[in-house]
Amino acid sequence: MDTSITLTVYIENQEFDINQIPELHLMYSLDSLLYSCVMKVRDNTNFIEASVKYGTSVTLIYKEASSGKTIVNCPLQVLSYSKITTTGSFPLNEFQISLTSPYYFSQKPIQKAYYGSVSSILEELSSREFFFKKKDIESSTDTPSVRYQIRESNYEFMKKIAKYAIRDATAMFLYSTIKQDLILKSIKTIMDTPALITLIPLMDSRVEASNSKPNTIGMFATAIYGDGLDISASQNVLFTTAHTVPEQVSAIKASIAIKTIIAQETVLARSNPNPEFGTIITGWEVPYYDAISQSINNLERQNQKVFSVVAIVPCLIHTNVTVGSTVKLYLNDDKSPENGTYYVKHIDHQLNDSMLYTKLHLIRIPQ
Amino acid sequence: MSYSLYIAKIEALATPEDDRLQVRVLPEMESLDKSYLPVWPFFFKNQTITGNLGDLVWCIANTEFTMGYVLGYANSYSWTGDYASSSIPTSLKDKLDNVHVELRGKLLSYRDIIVTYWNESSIHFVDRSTGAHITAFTSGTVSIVRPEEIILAVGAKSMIKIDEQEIVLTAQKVRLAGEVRLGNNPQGNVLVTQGVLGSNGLPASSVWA
Repeated sequence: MDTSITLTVYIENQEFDINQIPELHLMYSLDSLLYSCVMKVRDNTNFIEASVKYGTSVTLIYKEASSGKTIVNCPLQVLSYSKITTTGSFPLNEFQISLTSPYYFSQKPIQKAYYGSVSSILEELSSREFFFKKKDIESSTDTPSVRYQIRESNYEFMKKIAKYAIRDATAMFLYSTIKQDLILKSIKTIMDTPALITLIPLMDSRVEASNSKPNTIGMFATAIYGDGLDISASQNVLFTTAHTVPEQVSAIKASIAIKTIIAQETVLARSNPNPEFGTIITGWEVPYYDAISQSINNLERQNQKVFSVVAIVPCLIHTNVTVGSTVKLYLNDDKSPENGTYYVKHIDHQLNDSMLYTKLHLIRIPQ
Repeated sequence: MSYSLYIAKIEALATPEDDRLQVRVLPEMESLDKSYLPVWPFFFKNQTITGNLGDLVWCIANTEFTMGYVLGYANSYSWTGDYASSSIPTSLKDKLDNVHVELRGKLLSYRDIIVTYWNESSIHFVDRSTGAHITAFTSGTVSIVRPEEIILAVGAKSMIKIDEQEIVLTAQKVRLAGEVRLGNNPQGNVLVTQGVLGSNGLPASSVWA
């Protein structure tokens, strides 16, 4: 599993020195049709200020170091950037650039009506979408209905109808990946998918044997969050809960990369479900079948708050682990209540001080 | 999710099997194929309109148009604040007052009345203080139901007026079809105050002889 990965960043087709990027996050999640990226850039040459504007093309190319084979070619476009200038003996211009999928920029409002289940409408709609390289749309069993796309972009419309997609009374997720795949998948299908990897603490002795178990990954750090429980920070873990047996705490080592994103992690783990799904329904504002579908989707996203794990692991961009995959988690103690199978809700492939990591936000699958 | 008001054009009428109207919400559904247009019922229970193709109606619907109701025909509106075209024209009121022989005065009191419908030749309203229901046409046809009387008139010459004491039929001709009985027994007086008996006429004393 330990494959060296290289990252090359192109700004308007011009290669940008990776050493001038102290931090980069390439993120995507279940509930989002847009992947996004935030990067910090140092530049005293005026290149960034001269070339980076709203809509500027940026491409991230991840390659296998040994073979030079491209693993991921991820196009992005600039949404915004801000300049932070440090003063002192050596003043340094630093920029924070926010980028998103070019899909966002290709949107045009459309006036059209469709009839059918959410999945059949997505099939019809995506047949005209050329951004997505692959489509994996599972059939939904929601009540067929007329859906109106009134002066909305495909992106807005897809987001709007996704909350009505259910399959056999279980929630469905509509999302895209950094490989430009469009996916509609039920939570049942996700949960039934065999785990691709097993996560264990990095310092665990079992990691020593991980070479012979290629699907076992050592975690640099783990954050565990259980809704409603007291959270206590320690030097060795980002945060933990009463679930974690004290002896295990010292066995989980924090990475230097984590310290820069503690606040973000806390927000991520504690964040409310997607507001799109949190709409209050009184029962008479929409047809009853839509109200039921929306409630099922909303409930599933509420459940995501109950038990979360944020894990920092070596870069997984070359593996099949993606949002919607399942992974196993085993802490030092076999009886640890956190041990179990999780599905991946959010992925952040990050560059931090020239090192590549992957951060996984995991949701516990009921055993 | 919330409900909003929309103006819509009637695209398909109610039928004996289905009281709902198919409507095109404007301008949101301007270019949509008719087969995708919503079919919505009337907003209030036990009320409906069967519709007229092309007429505009007010609708209330959720913002996704997956659920909606027809509120009723849309009044005209003006951005300049001129509401003359959406008000009952004075000429109509004058005409109605002129034909309103029996009431001897203004038809509309403008004191707590509910006009349920008006068009270029008629007005239908309820006087809330008395509960009286009045329908009047410019042709002279009037229907009045009050607590103390019922008046039905067509034109200026034909009228039925009913109160607790009497029923008055006024017309150039009154035809009574079938057997005519007067009084309970049947006995009583028949009073002919005007007119000359024709060859088929009978004197009053001979009616029940």
